[in-house]
Amino acid sequence: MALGLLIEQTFNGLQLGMILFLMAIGVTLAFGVMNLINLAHGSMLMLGAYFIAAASAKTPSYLIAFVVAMAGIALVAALLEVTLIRPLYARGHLDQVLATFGISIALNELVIWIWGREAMFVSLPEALDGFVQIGSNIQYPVYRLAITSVAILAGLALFALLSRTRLGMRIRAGAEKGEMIGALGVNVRALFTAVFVISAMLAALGGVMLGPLLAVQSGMGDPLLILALAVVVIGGIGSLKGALVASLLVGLTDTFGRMVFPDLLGQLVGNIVANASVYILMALVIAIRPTGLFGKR
Amino acid sequence: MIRTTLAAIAATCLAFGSAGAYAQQKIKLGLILGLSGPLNVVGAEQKRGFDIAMDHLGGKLGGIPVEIVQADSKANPSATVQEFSRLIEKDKVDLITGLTASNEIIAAMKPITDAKMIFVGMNGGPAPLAGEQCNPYYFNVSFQNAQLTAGMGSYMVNAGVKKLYLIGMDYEAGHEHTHAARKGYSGDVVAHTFTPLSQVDFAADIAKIRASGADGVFAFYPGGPGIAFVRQWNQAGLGGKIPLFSNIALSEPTVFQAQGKTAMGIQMSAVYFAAMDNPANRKFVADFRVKFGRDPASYAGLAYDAIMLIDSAVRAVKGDVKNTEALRAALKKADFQSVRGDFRFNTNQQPIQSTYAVVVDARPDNSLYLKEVKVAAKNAPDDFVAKCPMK
Amino acid sequence: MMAPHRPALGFKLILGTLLLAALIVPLLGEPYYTKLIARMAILAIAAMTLDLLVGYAGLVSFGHAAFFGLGVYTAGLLPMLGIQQAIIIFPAAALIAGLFALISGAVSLRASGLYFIFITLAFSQMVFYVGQGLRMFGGDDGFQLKAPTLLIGNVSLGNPVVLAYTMIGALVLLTWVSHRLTRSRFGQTILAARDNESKLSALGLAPYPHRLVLYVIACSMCSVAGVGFANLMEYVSPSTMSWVVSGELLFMVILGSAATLIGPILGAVVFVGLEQVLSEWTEHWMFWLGALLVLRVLLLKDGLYGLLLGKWALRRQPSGSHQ
Repeated sequence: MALGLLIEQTFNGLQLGMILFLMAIGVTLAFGVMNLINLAHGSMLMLGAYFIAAASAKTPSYLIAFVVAMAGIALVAALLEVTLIRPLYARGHLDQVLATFGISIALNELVIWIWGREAMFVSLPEALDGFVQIGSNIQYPVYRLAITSVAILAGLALFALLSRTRLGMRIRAGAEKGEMIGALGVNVRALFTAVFVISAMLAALGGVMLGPLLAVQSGMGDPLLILALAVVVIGGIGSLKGALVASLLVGLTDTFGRMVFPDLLGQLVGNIVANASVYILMALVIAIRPTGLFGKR
Repeated sequence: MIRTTLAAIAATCLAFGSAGAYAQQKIKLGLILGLSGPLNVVGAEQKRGFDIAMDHLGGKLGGIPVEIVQADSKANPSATVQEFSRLIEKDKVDLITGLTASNEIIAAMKPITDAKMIFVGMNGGPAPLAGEQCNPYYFNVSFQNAQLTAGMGSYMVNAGVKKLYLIGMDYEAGHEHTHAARKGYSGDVVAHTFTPLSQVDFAADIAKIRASGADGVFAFYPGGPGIAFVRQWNQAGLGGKIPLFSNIALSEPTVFQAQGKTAMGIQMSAVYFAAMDNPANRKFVADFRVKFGRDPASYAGLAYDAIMLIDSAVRAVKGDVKNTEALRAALKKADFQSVRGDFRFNTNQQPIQSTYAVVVDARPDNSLYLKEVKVAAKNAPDDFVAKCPMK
Repeated sequence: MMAPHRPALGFKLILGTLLLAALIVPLLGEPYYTKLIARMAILAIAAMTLDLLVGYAGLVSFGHAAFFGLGVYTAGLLPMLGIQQAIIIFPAAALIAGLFALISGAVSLRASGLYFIFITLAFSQMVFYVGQGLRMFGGDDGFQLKAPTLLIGNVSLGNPVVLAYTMIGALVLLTWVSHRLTRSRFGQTILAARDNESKLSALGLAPYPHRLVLYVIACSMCSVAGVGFANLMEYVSPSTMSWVVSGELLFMVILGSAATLIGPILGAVVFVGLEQVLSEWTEHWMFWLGALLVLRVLLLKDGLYGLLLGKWALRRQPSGSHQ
């Protein structure tokens, strides 16, 4: 395999992995702190993409559009949490799965209702519309590198938030000993809302960044949600470290799988295995460690 | 129970009273398009062409008011079967037109044959249905898949492509089009791959193309994936470096705005493009521009033709659409003004038409359009007509 | 979840009326509505078998569509080998589904709670991708059913009336079997495992083998619905195995009330009915379906089954711990 191809595919795998990481931390954080399993997460990504598409149609400045989109998501997420999500904390996981599944179906249709069925398009910000020369043969799109970098930064920012701030301390406490923090005078409701909004914004960030790359359409977050769930399971539900390791693992497996398996196993079998590779990985991990790589036993 | 009795009485009346002279008060037309799903961009454009046709005909077919029953096929064969069943058995339409994808058309054949319901296809033409499995109830006004793409093989040879990379969406049409392009190509085929229908991120595939050393790429991606592919192709620095070929699925007025300058220079084969010069098309394009602010894509032009065809046939049978045999004969005559200029049906009810090589170019005002490069084939049939039992 | 109960007379009357309506409609000569009844019966079988897992065993499977799809594909592929007889096709479907359930269940049941939910999703995705990848069988496009399943002689499931009655019959039979199963010693062990695992091991009973057996049984039964579906649509496609279908089946279970068997059947009937009615009314009916699901989960204590028993109550307190 040529070195150039190897490098390019590694970058692609990292990009996918980091997008999955953004989604996976949201899922795993919500679970760790609120014991909430949230299938509407894919819709948050989709809304992020729609919001940036709508905002950039109204203003030539990408920066303003970005801020407006993220603010919009924060608002929507807060509203959703207070009205529909809050009652779910006390419920069983089946109820949470179904209610959030219902929310995602409704949101998928809502965006069609508002913005129509046709895919929307966001133009790339001028500054990022080009490529960098890597080696003699590869031109890698600047924008993809930007996505990966932003995702890494977001991850670092989250880490800083959790380890250095009061809010972060409360979140970690909530994840460890949920019942205690209420007794210590922490406003648990507000905390949960904050965590939900943070998770949603992380997913939406993924959508905002993917918007210019792909076509903005209804349901665009769902395939990524399924992969993100695989990431969370492989990494261990509730573990941030697990989410990071697993998302990189999954991103690289998926990207390299698509390249390697068809050559190795022939078009037919190879394509099937390439598509299913992440799920096969998930089954293998569960078979060996039923709570994921870093999950609590 | 009452409904069935009434239906029986009505049928008896028809049987006694028709003899071809029964005039309908209203015609019920089923319009089924892939309005949601991976090809929704295509379905929406077909609807626009349909709308202009209805404007021109004043909401009538053959002078008779028409009631449209709309259905969404989702570009999914199994949803298509369900919707056809609904249109035929519940809404009891007189005839059906539309469909956005070749796989859907194949799925529709059993329902229409069982019900002896005529279907006029607006987009796509799978090979089996042009050949051994040709169906008397299916009229294809658009193009047979290979017919659309056939000229590209030799075109690419003439364009100097020595190492070709073929890539397309993994469904019926994707296979047919890429194989048709490959057929006429005599150089070295470096790879021939397919990507899942839902895939919109082509980073890995573009990396493979780059690494393969190909000096020409034929890519079949309609709708949303087509937009994504072209944008990503240019972002990866390959625009202008490696020539891109396709049929008009990849870059068309529907996606010009989204693709922008990245689309320039893409060379494609087409049976219809907005710049075609004949009276019917000039009128169609002018009104389309007024209503929708841009040129029509081929999907719109072909949808327009389908309605005009149906209009001519209904007029010929004086509204007696229940007489399936008469309607069939009238449709076969194809006695209408096509926006493509010359058009007639072959014995397999597929088009005999010309194909052209076009390229994406910019007008002085920087808007994009499809410019004719040359005529690839004049009034040609498809490759499969000999295998069709209908004569 | 519903506590054990005694069905009232009014309840039996309503169910009886529904069954009667289902039996009469196919005789009216309207193929569209006959097919609707068949569709309701088919999805009812799938939902009811899922309830065995979700309601009685506390196993939330997000991959039930795989077994439905395996039934669809069996009915589609065997005619290519010249086999059309129901007497071979139904057992074959059950066998294939059962085999896949054995393998996937053996792995999945090692996980619990959320992990179980996601691992079942993973396995059904694998089956989906296999279906999608088989280009010779149309891949993602799927293929037309070459020949319908034949019951006896020339009586074919391709005839909507025959299909409707066959599926209703299958539904009644399988529901009765499932009902007996839940009342048996085996069933009691399963229920005990759902509610209190540690007590069970104190009694020397291991939940895992019992659950695996139940999993195989429930999933094989689901394939019967798949065979029916292939004949209904006259088409075989991988979309029957998608995770969205699994989600819809879970919706039917919860709409009707889990752990009741009859509840999910009602849930399936209402779901199909809603699809019909809502899609006539508005283009954006999926929004209302999603909203309905959310409202059902958030506001109501029990589903349709509870309604029938007159026990419909709004939630006053959270429903407590399970799974």
